[in-house]
Amino acid sequence: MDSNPVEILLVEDNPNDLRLALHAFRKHNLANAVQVARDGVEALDYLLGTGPFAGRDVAQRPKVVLLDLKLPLLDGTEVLERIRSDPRTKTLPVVVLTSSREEPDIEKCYRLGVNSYIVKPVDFDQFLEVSRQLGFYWLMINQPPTA
Amino acid sequence: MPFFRRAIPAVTLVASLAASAAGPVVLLGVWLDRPYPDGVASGRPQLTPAAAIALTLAGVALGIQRREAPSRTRRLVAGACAAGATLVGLLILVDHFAYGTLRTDRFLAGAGGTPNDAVLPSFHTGLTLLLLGSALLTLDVRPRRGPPPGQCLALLAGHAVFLVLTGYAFGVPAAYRITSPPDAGMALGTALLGGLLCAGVLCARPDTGFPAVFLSSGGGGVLVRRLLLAPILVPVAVGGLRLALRGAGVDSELIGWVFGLAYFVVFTSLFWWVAATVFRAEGGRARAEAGLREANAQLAAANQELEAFSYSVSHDLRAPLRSIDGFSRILLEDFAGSLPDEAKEYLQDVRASARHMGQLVDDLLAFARLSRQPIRAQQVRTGEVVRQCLEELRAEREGRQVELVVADLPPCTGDAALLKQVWVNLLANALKYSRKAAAARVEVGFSTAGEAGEVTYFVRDNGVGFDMRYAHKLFGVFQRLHRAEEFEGTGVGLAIVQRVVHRHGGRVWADARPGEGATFFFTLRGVGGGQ
Repeated sequence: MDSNPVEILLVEDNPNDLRLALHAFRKHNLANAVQVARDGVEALDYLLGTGPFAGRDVAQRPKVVLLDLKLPLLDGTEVLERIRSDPRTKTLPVVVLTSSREEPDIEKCYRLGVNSYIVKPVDFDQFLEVSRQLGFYWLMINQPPTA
Repeated sequence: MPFFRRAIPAVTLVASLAASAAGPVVLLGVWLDRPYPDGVASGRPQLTPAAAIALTLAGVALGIQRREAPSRTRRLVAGACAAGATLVGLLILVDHFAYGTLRTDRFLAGAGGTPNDAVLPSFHTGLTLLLLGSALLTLDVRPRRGPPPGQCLALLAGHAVFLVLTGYAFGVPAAYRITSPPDAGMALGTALLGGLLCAGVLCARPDTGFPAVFLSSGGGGVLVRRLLLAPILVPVAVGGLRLALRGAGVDSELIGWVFGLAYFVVFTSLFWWVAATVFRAEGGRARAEAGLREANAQLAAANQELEAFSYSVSHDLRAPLRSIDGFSRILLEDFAGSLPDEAKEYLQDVRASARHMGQLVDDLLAFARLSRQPIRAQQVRTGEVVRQCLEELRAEREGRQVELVVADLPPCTGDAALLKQVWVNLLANALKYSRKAAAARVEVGFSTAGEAGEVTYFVRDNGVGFDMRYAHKLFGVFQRLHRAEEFEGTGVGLAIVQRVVHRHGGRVWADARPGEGATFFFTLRGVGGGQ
C-alpha cells in the first residue's frame, strides 16, 4: 500500500485552473493526497485500473472525485455516467467543480447522481475558501462508503 | 363581412322602432273610429289592437336591450315589456282555443270602437308573440353548451312568420289562415313586424350563437353566408314561378320537367361555387401555415444558437478571469517581499478588474436568462415582497440612518420571482444612491388611475438623483449615469427592471433632479398576453 494514499482525484484539463487548484490545496496541506487526471478518459482509466493504470488496485478509492464538466475526449457528465454505471465506483463520492452555473447542467448532474455541484468562483480568495471547505468536508467530516 | 358587421346594429334599431310604432298607430285608428288600418273590406286578417300593443312592447324591450349590459333599471323595464308581450301572446292563444270568449281583441275597442265579429284572434299570431316575448326575456341567457335559448325562440318565431309571408306573397290564404277559425289569421303587418323583430333579436347579440357563426371569418362563416339564402330564396322563387306558369296555362307535366332541371342547375352551381370558395381559402391557409412553420423553425434555431452562446459565455469567459485573479493574488501573497508597493497596487487593480468583469458576465447572463424564462403568473402580495427585499438589503443599511416609508401596497398578478427582482433592484438603487444624504429617506408607495384602477407603484429616494436629460439612457444594458468611483455597479439592474416590467405588459419611467433624489414608477398590466 502507498504510504501516501490518494484522497482526491482532481479531473481538470485547463492548466491554469489546475495550477491554481494545486496552489490552493498546497495552502491547506492537501496537495500530497491529490491525483490529477487531465481528461475524462484518464480519470476513468485511473478509477477502473485500465490503460496506463492497468494493474492498479482499484479497491484503493479516493475519498472524493473533483470533476470538471468541460473536458476533452469524454466530458464530465459522460465520466459521471460511467462512474455510476460501474459497480466498483457506483458509490464513489463525486463533486462537480465547474465554471457553468447553467440550470440544465446542474439538473443533469444531479440526475446522474452527483453528490455535490460547485461553481468555481472568479474571485481567487473565494476559490481558496471553497477548496479549504471542500477538503475539510470530504476528507475529514464525510464518511465515505467502504466499497 | 365588414358590411354585415356595420349593418347589424341598424337592423336591431329599425326592428325596435318599427315594432314600437305598431301599437300607437293601431290605437290611433281605434280612436279615430277606423279600427283596422288594413280595411275590413279586404277580407284579410287585420292587425288587431292586442297584437299591436304586444308588438310595441316587444319593440321597446328590444330597443332597451339593443346593446349588451344595460343598467339595472333598464333591464327591469325591458323585462316587464317582454313579459307583457309574452302574456298577450299567451292570452291570444287561450282565446283561440276558447273561440274568442276572452275577446282579447275587442276589449280595447271598448264602447267607442266598432266590434267586428269577423275579427277573431289567430293561433299563429298568439304563438309568434309568445315566442318573440320569451326570446326577449331570455336574450342574455347563455348556456354553457349549445346556442342561446333566446335566439332559438326568435328563430322559431321567424319560421312561423316566414310561412305566413310566403302565403301573402303567392296569394295562398291557406298559408296565413292555417289553423284559425275561418276568418281569422295573421295580419300582413304582424308578419312583417314579427320577422323584423326576429332579425332584431338575432342582431342584438351578434357575438354569440347563430350570428357569431354567420359572421365568423372562418370556413364555417363562408359556408353559412353562401348557403343560407338558398333554401329561403330558391323555394320562394320556384314557387312563385310555378304559380305564374300555371296561371299562364302551361302544361303541368312540362312545368314539372322544367322545375326538376331548374333545381339541378341551381343547386349544382351553388355547391360548386361554395366548394371553389372553400378550396381557395384552404389554399391560402396552407400557404400561410407553411410560412409560419418555416418562421417558427428559424426562430427555434436562433434561440438554440443564443442558448449555446450564453452557455459558452457562462463557461469560457469565466475561466481566464479566474486565472488573472488567481495568479495576481499568488504574486501578491507569495512574492510580497520582492514587489515594490506600486507593483502591488497595480496587481490589486488587475484583481479588481477581473472581479468586476466576472460580475458583468454574471449580470449579463442573468439578463439574458430573463427573456427565455417563461412567466409563471400568480397573485403576488406586493407588501410582503417589499418587506422581504428590505430584509435582504439589510447589509446596505448597516451603519446608516435610513427612514423607510412603506405604504400598504395592493397585490398584483405576475411572476413572483421576477417581480421580486424588480423590487430588489429598485430598492437597492434607492439605498445606494441615498448613501451620501445626511438624512436618507426611501419611500415606497402607489397610486391608482383610470376607470380600470390601474396601479402605479413607485420607489422614491432623496439621494443624488440624476439629470433628466440623460433619462433615456437609464434602462439600457451597461448604461450608467454615475462614475464607478462614486457608486459601484454594472449598469444591468435597471435593464432587468425594464425587461421584467415589459414582459408583464407594463411601463417603467423615472423622475429625478440632480441632488434632490429620484423616483422610479412602474405599472403592471398583468400577464396573460402572448408576451
